[in-house]
Amino acid sequence: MDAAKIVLGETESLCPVCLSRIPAQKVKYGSKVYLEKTCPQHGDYKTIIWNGPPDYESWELIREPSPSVNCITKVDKGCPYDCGICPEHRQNTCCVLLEITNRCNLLCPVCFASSQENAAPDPSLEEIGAWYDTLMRCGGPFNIQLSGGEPSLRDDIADIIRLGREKGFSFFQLNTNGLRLAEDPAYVKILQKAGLNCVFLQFDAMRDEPYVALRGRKLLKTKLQAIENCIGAGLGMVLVPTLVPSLNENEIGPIIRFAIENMPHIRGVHFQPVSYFGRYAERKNERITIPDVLRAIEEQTGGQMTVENFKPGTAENSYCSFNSSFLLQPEGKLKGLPKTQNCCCCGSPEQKPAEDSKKAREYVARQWSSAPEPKYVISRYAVPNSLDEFLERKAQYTLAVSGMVFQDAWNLDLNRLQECYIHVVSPDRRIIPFCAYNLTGIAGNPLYRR
Amino acid sequence: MKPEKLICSRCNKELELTSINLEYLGHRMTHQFPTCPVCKLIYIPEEVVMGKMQQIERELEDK
Repeated sequence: MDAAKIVLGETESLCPVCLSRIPAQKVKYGSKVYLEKTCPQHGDYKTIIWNGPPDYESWELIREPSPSVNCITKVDKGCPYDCGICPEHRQNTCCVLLEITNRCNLLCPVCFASSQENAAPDPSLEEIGAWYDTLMRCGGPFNIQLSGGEPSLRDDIADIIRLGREKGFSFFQLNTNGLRLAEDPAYVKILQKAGLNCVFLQFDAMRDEPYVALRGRKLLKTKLQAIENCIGAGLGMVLVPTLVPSLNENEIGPIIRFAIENMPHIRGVHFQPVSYFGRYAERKNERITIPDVLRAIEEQTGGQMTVENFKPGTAENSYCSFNSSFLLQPEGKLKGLPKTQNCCCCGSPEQKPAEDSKKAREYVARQWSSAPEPKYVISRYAVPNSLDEFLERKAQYTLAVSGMVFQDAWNLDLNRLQECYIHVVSPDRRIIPFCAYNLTGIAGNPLYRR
Repeated sequence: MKPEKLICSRCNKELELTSINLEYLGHRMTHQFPTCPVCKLIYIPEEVVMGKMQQIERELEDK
């Protein structure tokens, strides 16, 4: 018998064909929740957004809107057409992507940025300086993600980081495929000396087949070499697997085990279930939702990490992400670190809504950038014999495991979008929520990216 | 600087640095604290309570 249909709530979305704003409903059938919507011109759409358990309603945290969002644009056509940010946005910026090149040395079918080999000229250092200035005027400093394209194709990243530091920013991560980091250890050392805090390394599997399907070639050896070079330079890394249905879901456990083996240099694993924008068109509505990832983590780590260890992010819409962190014990077991949630019902009373984005930013900066130089690494087997040694162990042997489900033209929920705290600086110096910036229609027609 | 000499008011014995097992939220650690050799009273200095202990508490509880 089919599960009863329960309408959980109303929201708004876009038509995947014409990108017009249309009403949408969140509808539950058993443990599955779908976003259902109808465009008067282009028909009905139904996309899975939650495949429990855990139950959809149990994951919700109600955030109060941030009282003071720094806006550049005005409300004119309404969400999502006025991004900049506009006064309808309900969260401050936490992390900002700077697309410092559109060139790339891989042509991944899944690229959300549709990067290319023969791209437009890179923005100048002067232009990037103007982006930094815009961000400082809009409430900065924020955590900076140097992105692209493939940002390591630029030879002046050290100058970009130095300029950012001069202007008041303190956390810089490099969103990279790792190719140059594998080939050029001297370049890795330059990045470390310039003050790069973290390498956010695209890392999809512990075997080659998923790389061939996702990235067009065998890359495991290259990734491992990049990691070795970062370890040598004392640069912390976060592994970032793009999860594609039926391709690399079984790699979740092996990747986490590899990350544990390479603590403290590997600081975290950040899963990104595939989204259908940029070059990657939707395939048969195949989706990996947050509960799918959490159950796979529990199953593939043999219960060392459980579904209950994970919580939604507290600074963004709760259906965007999950996270937890685990402290490696000297005998090799993992212990989940409990979190205090800053939601209305269980948070500390002094936690103001405007501060959750700042708190998330500080957590990311602290956790993702604490990799020591090899000579300062303490033994993973050493039992702490003082409070100082315990604090050092906590700093070195805590692994963050997290994930974020980006939105595309099919699963876009404007309520979620309005709480987004990961933003991109556009070439015309506006600040645009990541999912809006990358969103494309079924024919590749962009909402923002030009 | 030489550590301050501490005397147990009940036993009139000088406290000795002793490894003490601590546990917080299931995490175990040891630390040396001045302890009375007779009644085992442990003295935890205020700067440790307000410093390292509070830091550990914050880090283990918080996001």
